[in-house]
Amino acid sequence: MACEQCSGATGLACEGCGAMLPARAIDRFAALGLPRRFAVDAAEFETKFRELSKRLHPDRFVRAAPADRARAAQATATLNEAYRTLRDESARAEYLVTLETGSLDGNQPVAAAFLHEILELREELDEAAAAGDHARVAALGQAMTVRRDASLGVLRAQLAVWDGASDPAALAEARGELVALRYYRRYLEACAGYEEGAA
Amino acid sequence: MSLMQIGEPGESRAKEACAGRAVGIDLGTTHSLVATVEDGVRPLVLGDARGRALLPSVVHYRAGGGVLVGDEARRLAAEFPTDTIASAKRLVGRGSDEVRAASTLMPYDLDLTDSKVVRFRVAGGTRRVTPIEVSAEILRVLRERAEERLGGPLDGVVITVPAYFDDAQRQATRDAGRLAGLEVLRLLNEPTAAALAYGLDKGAQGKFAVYDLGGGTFDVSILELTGGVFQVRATGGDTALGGDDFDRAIAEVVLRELAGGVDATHDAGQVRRVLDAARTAREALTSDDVAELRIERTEGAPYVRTLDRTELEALIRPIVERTRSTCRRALADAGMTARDLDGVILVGGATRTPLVRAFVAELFGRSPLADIDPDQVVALGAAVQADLLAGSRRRDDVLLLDVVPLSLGLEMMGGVVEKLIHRNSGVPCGAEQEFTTYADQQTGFDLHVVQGERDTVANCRSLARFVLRGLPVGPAGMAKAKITFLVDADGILCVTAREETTGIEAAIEVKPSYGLTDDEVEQMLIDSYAHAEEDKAARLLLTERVEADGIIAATRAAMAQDPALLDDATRSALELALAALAVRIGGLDHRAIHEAVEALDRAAQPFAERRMNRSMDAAMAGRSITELEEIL
Amino acid sequence: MAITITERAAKEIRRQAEKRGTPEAALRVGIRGGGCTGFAYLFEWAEGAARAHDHVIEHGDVRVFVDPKSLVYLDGTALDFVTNVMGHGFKFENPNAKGACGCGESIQF
Repeated sequence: MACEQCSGATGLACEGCGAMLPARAIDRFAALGLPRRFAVDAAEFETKFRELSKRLHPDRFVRAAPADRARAAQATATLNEAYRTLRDESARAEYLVTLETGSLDGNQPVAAAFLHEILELREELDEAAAAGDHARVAALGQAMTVRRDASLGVLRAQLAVWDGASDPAALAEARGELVALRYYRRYLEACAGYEEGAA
Repeated sequence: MSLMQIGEPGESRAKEACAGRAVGIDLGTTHSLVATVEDGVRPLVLGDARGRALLPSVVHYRAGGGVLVGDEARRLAAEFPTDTIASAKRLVGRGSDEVRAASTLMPYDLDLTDSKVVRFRVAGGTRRVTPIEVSAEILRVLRERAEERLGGPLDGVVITVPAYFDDAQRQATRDAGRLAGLEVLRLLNEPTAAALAYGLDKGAQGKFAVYDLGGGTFDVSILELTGGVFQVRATGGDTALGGDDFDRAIAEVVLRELAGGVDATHDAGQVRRVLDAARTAREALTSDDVAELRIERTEGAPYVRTLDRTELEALIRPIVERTRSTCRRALADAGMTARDLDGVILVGGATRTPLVRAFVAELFGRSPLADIDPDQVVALGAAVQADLLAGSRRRDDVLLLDVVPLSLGLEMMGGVVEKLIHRNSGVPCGAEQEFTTYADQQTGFDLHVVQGERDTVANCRSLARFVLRGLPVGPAGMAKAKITFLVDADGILCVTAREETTGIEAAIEVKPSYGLTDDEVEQMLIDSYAHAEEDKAARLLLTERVEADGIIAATRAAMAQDPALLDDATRSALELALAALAVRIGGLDHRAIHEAVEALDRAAQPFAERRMNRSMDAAMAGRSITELEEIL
Repeated sequence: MAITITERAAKEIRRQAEKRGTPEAALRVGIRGGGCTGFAYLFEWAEGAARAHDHVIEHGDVRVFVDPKSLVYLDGTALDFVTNVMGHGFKFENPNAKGACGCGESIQF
């Protein structure tokens, strides 16, 4: 959508004249003025967020008309949501894949062997925690962290293919990796929960 | 109005006629302050007529009517313990059940019959006031102080709150501001305010932790300062932990000793006296190694005991230790370790305690910064934010990006919480969730909004319950409701629910289950309107007095400078008018002062004209225009 | 719609114009945003000639330019020059103004 003021570029604020654009459904990459790519330059990402915040934040509209204040709040909420999602690598990967290929919930098959393995690891963790075996809990967490990092490496490679050629096949593979990562994340959260409870 | 001079082209546009009168208020547990950015550059704390910057957050309700705030109220605390409320902030936005569970050593006469809101029985038991009203009295005094110093009504205020204040406590603080007749521009988190004061003062860049231990609350925030943007990365805290707890730990020991080594109940006045003595001793131990505690007794010799620093530290160490895990979690939430930090900032009077400083240094692995007075730094930062929001000069180069301290969610089937907004999300922020009916012929949705980190409703704070009615009747799963959460820049939540097929909508600004309803606040406001005329008269009086003082000074200066230009008649007329004005200034009638000012103006007319003519003559005598301007 | 200029004010404007070395200069008077009530007087020497839509008030050889928007708020105003103990200066007697603020340069309508 073009800017009302100067018919410049898109996003939450016009890149040409800085005017706030009407709040509407835009994806989170567009909200930050980024292409739909997995690779993000961290410094540039933060700078973009700060620049947009300076234009859109409600603090800039304290004395403005109520409608403009509401728009500023809405636009900043959209911006903050986009920032939160895209700043974190796994969240960004999941968002990109979901955006291009649909939700992971309920329609991504998971291998029975994988589920079985995770279930066993969970039982082991619960037993260690119940027995107060902090060393064992820590060791299990450490092992899972290694596994998670390896999975993230695979995911990065898959998404690099997408970034290079917009190849949907790369995203289909990434879906499987993302689901696995969900299980790893929940497992690590449980570890952290036990460790915090013990501390 | 003042007289105008002709400007050069474009000059009037360049200068602002006068600064917006926006102030920052630190509404603290033990004391409160007001600050402003007066000259457009540096913030400064506004003292009272006697130059005192800190206003003790103590309110005394006299049995015969009338309210005293500050030192005057504090002096009456031991004599009238139940009529004198200190630390109301600990109870603001809290329900009776919570207070009942936590009310150890609170020397008040609490009315806990209303489960939603706590009330103090005061004024000899004749009045019942909520913590919100008590806070409003403190804010009112600070408002008057600021109006007096700045010479007119305030355009708006920024009030600080602990970062970890929940929705109910924020709402309550905003209500207190409204009751005090203030336009609350923003609720600002205390650690963020402190960082703003430091960041602008020192031009700092990088990652900082703010460790804020006040009288009744503890906060820790991790911030990143880059190019004028103050971005809060994570925050954590405990709204029931502070220097007051140090005093309580000491007082418990003393009270036991007073009772001969056993636990006993003590009257409220005794508890107040012991708490005061404990605080005095604790503060003395900041610089001294030994302090003396002295308590007068109704019979027998006074109780006297020494307290040394080692004993104090043994008593308070467990309390200080409680901040450790909170700091660790905040760092983890920010994705940092202590090593990533560029500095640690200390805020709050309790951080003067040597043990606290040592603890912070050990925890973060570096000595903390405390070069801005930890009692003042929050108010100074609030003043900066007020100036940014409503001050004379808009500053586009500085921006604060804050976060929600606690996750917000909805109750699901089985008492499980579904989080819609996660803690440490930047504000403003929003989230949407869709729900479908779970039973056939279901006609409404019960929505229960909760706040907290735990997975079960029982362990979270209940914020509000509301119902979306009038759903289209049909089988389970047919009707769909979209629930939208929006948290504004003050960290306050607004929830809307919309049934998708019919468009039925229900919107509420979440009024917490614990607190006052809108109607109750409205009623309090109406009651306070009874005083609005008085307030307005007081303001006009203030303005006239300031102007009259200026005119008296100018007249006296002119008379001293040019006695030769005064004939006897004019002199006596002037003296008479000055005397009349002096009398009127002491009075309460602003119109009378105004008339006396005008009378003085008339009496001074011949003298003023002679002075002007003399200046003209001087110009004729070959003086330069610059000199002439100076004389005029 | 009109603004009046008192004899005293006209005399002073002429005097100051001469002192400034621009005896022909006109004054620009108006209302601008700013000050604590949101409006303040604009009171300065005009730059060059009157603009297309300016309202021009003449009192002898003294000329005052007012832009049409400001005129709405200034209608009926008398521009005076007064001397009192606080000093001397110009004063707007504006029947439209409901009040002035503490700083004296803002007006309320």
